Amino acid sequence: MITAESKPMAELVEMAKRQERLLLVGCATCVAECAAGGEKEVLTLAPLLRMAVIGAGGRLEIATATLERQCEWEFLEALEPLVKKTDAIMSLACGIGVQALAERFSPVPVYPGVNTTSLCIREQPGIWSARCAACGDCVLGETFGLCPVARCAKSLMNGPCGGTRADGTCEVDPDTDCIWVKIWERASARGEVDALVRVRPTRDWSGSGHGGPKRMVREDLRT
Amino acid sequence: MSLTNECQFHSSQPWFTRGSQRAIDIRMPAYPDAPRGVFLPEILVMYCQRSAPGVTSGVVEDEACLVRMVAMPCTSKVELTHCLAVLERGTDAVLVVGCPVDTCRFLTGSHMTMKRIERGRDLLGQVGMGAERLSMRLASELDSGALVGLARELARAVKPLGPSPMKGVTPA
Repeated sequence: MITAESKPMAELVEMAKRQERLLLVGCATCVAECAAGGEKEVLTLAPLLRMAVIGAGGRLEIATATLERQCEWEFLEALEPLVKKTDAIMSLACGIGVQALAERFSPVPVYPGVNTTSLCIREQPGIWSARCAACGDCVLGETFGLCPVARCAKSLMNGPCGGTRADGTCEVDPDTDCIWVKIWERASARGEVDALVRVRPTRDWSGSGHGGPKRMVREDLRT
Repeated sequence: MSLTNECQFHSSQPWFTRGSQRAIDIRMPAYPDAPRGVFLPEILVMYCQRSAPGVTSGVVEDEACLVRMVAMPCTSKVELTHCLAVLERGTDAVLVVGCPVDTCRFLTGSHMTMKRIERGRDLLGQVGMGAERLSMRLASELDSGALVGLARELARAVKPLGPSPMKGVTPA
């Protein structure tokens, strides 16, 4: 899922007090799964913002709604009657949702309520960790299903590095496993360690963000 | 294409028709009128029915506070959204009363609720409302008087903060 974290309350209040009528919009997909921007978070944040602004002598009315998704144009249409009656929108979706609202409902100001962080899996209740870096050239088939791009602090393709601790954790964070140790262990368990010493062609990093903004085109789907 | 939840409106003005009020039970009786010129904190007490067997939901006018008591099947059913919605509507403080952690019938109910309440206290402090306005106590075998006693303690803690700035802003 795309994960996000709530922005600091002071920053949210600063954005909210710029207008008297705010539409607070959640997204019921990824950010709901990581407890940052779903319906529950919307209904938590709305009263807090009102209490902050009104308690300081200001005025603020908030309408709330949660869309199934904010990253698909079709879902945004349900907001139109609400947007007509608001001064600004605060979106608790990832950056994609925020930009979709800003584009669809321009020139109404749209503020981000969360900081989008990464592509994660929920390890345990309350713990999410990155599993994918959207690098555009997947090597999981060669690394036994463990991503060195997202899960190695240096995104090494030939780890482990010299900083790996004796207990198999990363020098950067003792709570994070060295993913190359894990790759080695999984290769050993399968009896395929030789696959790790095979020389691979140089990776194509152009799809990882180093090659400019990404854009995908499928001519067969275009109308 | 549709909204996942019915739109809810946090407004004192009729620019939207107020939607579903499922965050709180609006069928609950209102607080009794406080004597003029006296600040009697309005306290909502959400208590686990197992921590106070025999106590029924209702309203109590105490000499130190006005108490609205709501029985819950377990404090695990108390969401932060409930507490904040009530505070947003002008209640001066919310008290959650659960069973001791090791006797919670639902095993992790009190334990997890304490975490939620602690987070809520932190957020209320950050927005300037005062963390004191939200509190949780663990107890068992409470009668009505003991429950009101806990509310009275909370009333003493919030009295220095003064009445909620949200009082009168939104209809309760």
